Amino acid sequence: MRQFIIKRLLWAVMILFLVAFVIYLLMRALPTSYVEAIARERAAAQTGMSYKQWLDQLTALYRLDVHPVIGFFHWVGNAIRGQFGTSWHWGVDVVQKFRDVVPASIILGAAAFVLEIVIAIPLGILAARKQYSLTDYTVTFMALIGISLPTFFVATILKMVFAVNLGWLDLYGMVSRDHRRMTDIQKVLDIASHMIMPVLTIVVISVGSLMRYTRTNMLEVLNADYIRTARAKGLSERRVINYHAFRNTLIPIVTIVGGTLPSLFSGALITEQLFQIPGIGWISYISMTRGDIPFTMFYLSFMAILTMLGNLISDILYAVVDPRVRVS
Amino acid sequence: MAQDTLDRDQTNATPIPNPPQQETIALDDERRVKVLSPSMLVFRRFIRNRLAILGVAILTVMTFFSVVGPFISPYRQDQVFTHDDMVYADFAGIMINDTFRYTIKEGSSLSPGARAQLTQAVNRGQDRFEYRGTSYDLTRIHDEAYAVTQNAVYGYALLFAGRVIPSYEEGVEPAEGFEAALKEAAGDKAESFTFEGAVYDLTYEDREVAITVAAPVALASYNVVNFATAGQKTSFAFSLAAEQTLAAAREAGAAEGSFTVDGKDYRMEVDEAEAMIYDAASPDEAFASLSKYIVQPVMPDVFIEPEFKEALLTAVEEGAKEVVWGEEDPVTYRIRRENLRWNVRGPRKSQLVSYYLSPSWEHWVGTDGNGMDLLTRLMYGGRISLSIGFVVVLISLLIGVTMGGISGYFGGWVDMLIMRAVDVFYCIPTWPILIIFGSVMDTYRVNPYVRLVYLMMILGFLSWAGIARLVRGQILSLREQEFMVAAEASGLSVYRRIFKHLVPNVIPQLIIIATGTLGSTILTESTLSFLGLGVKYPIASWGNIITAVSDVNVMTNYLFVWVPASLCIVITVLGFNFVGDGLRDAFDPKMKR
Repeated sequence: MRQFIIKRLLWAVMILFLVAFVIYLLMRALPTSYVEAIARERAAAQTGMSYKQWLDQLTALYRLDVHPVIGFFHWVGNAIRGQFGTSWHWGVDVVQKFRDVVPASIILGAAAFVLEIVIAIPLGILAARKQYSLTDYTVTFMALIGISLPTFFVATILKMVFAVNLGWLDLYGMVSRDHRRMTDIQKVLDIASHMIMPVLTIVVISVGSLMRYTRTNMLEVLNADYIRTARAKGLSERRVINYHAFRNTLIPIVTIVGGTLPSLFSGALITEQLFQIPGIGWISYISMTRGDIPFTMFYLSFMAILTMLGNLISDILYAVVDPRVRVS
Repeated sequence: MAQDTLDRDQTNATPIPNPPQQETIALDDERRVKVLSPSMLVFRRFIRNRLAILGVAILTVMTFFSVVGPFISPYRQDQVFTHDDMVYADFAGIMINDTFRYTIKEGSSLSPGARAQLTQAVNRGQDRFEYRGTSYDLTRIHDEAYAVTQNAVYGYALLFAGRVIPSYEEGVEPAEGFEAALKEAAGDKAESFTFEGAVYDLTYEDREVAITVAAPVALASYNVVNFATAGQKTSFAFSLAAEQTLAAAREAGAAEGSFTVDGKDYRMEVDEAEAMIYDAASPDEAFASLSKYIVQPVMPDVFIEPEFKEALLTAVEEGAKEVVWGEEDPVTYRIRRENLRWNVRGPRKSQLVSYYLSPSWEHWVGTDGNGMDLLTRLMYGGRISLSIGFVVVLISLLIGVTMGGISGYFGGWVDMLIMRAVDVFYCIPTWPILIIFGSVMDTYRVNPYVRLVYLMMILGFLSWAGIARLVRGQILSLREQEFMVAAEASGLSVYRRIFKHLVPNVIPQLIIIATGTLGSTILTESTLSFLGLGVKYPIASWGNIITAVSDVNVMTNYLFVWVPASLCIVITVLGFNFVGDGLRDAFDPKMKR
């Protein structure tokens, strides 16, 4: 088992290295004039540093003046030591900015994650148990609709209903205007109320796939021979479902859910942007559209690491629950 | 519960065809009829799924809508609709005239220098001024009007033995009775006499009498005469008579007066700001107006008739803000005072972009913020969204199947290399890359059509990894199966083995993944276009139609702008998902039990 994990880990590091190289190349592939235009813009917008200084800083950080491969090793060397440079748009250290904004994303992601699991798994199992019933069709239909909904549509409908028509929630942002003057409990409630719509949006659009996945797996398990055996030996239906079937269904679900754990940190790019939640997603969106190369590079690497971690966790969990995988 | 499931399982179980290789059964044996080809089986299972049929129906309708729709629609996707509407624009300016305006008598002239002298003389209260040796007399008509006369030699007369023998200046033809009047005046040694309204001065020198006459030269007045008919100019006689009548009426405190010029009778109505002059022959319509207010239309081709002018001036005097004018369709004019000037704003016909028009017969879904027909844009947008979906799926299938096929069939280090590439592509974050490409293209202002091609290529290139992995996995497992061993044993070429035996077995999975990718690509594209980083104006896409919703005003008041486009996206993606689901069940009957 340990050998398997080590092997996978080494692979992961290698892949990550390659991904980083691709990302670096992508950045290098940006037309020079684009970089120059951005640097000029920065120099014009922020006092203190001239256009030349910006360009020099960028060149030094990414070694734009040397061969891409050598430049890449320089950049990776800096990145491993956590030196991603100063953000052009935010004017602070990239890692510092990341630390500031990531809590909002984690709150958002965690709330959505928990809700998703609480909704998707029981409903998926219910649908599988009553296959082809009205419940099943409803659940399948809802799941498909959830998958088919564009994020911005869900967000707009929610805003329309809760913010505009009912006036219960604020249209944008994570805190109210008078947040600073609130007591601690009020502050928590304030943030929670601002998180309702973003969390709902994420849940609506992503609950469907987990629900369907649960249903499919539960169906597979219910069709397995050992379930027939369990029924044949006269176990109550409840015991068959809750004890024999459910536990086996959990195996693939756990691996999938485990694989999505790292994405809690990645932020919801579109949803955060739509609700202007100052999490890593929205901040990165702004950085990317404003041509903030240091922050963008950091975000891309960060996302790659998270995806890699997700795959890794998924693989390892699968190996843990299904020993057959380890052999091959 | 379980019993129920089991029952259904049996009814839904697929008919297992009898093996046809039994020698006893003839080719046309009835039992053979039941044998269905695998594709037929899939088809049978597919059409039994109601959601899948719904999906097919949705997709048919949406395809028809977006492919045929643009040809049916009478509008173009970038056609801007405009309408004429009344917009308040500067109509006229009203000023109080504070300099003399001159009406020069026909045949005379008054040089600018003389005019300056005149103004000075009036200001000093003098009744005579000179300019370049000519002296002019000023006759006050009223405070703001003066008649300018110039003494001109009329003729001479000899007084001889009680007789008067006149001799006139060249060109002067005295009227009948003049000589009698002259004789009478000269006999009395009078200094002057009046004949037919003109004053003649007599200067005696021995027996000779010089006759000079105060010939009217011009009329200087603050008032301006405006005629009801455009282009008509006032004459000296008319202006003089009008001014005199006005003066007389004002002096007498009368509201009316009348005068005759050139044998025509005129009636005058006097009020504070101006005097209206009516032709006695047609007393209903105003003939002219006399006023020291100047009403100057902004547009050169506009003529303001005296009645309207009077109404405007009355409003100015009363300090009113609005004037309603017009008999058939009254129009409201707004008056705003600017120091000593009044600005009259009237409705003027302007061409306006018909934006956010509500649904109507012309525009079934209304118009968007650019005044373009929404239904047409929805059709074109559907075409773009669907073609992006298909092209992207095609690109990713092409790369994915090739890569996966090579990887799975050849194995070894090729497989190793390609699979690592797939791993790398799996880790590349799609959304950030798309956003970065979008903003780079924004910076360069890439042509929207070129941009569309780039977008398809990027989307396709980012989504082949999953397909490659799937194809490889399938081929790996299929390669070891008996039928492949049989194919190899029967000496089939590699080409035949791959394309006749391996690929057809992967196609079901490919179709399923393709439908899924189609749906998700449409979602990705619309979200990207919604953010303004995908398909750009003027090309319509469902996503960029909805962009308007970021304006809260549009979100709440113009539902018809964003709801139909959103529904188009949802329904189409739903259609793809239904079909994909149905296909999955149909291809893999094991799951459908």
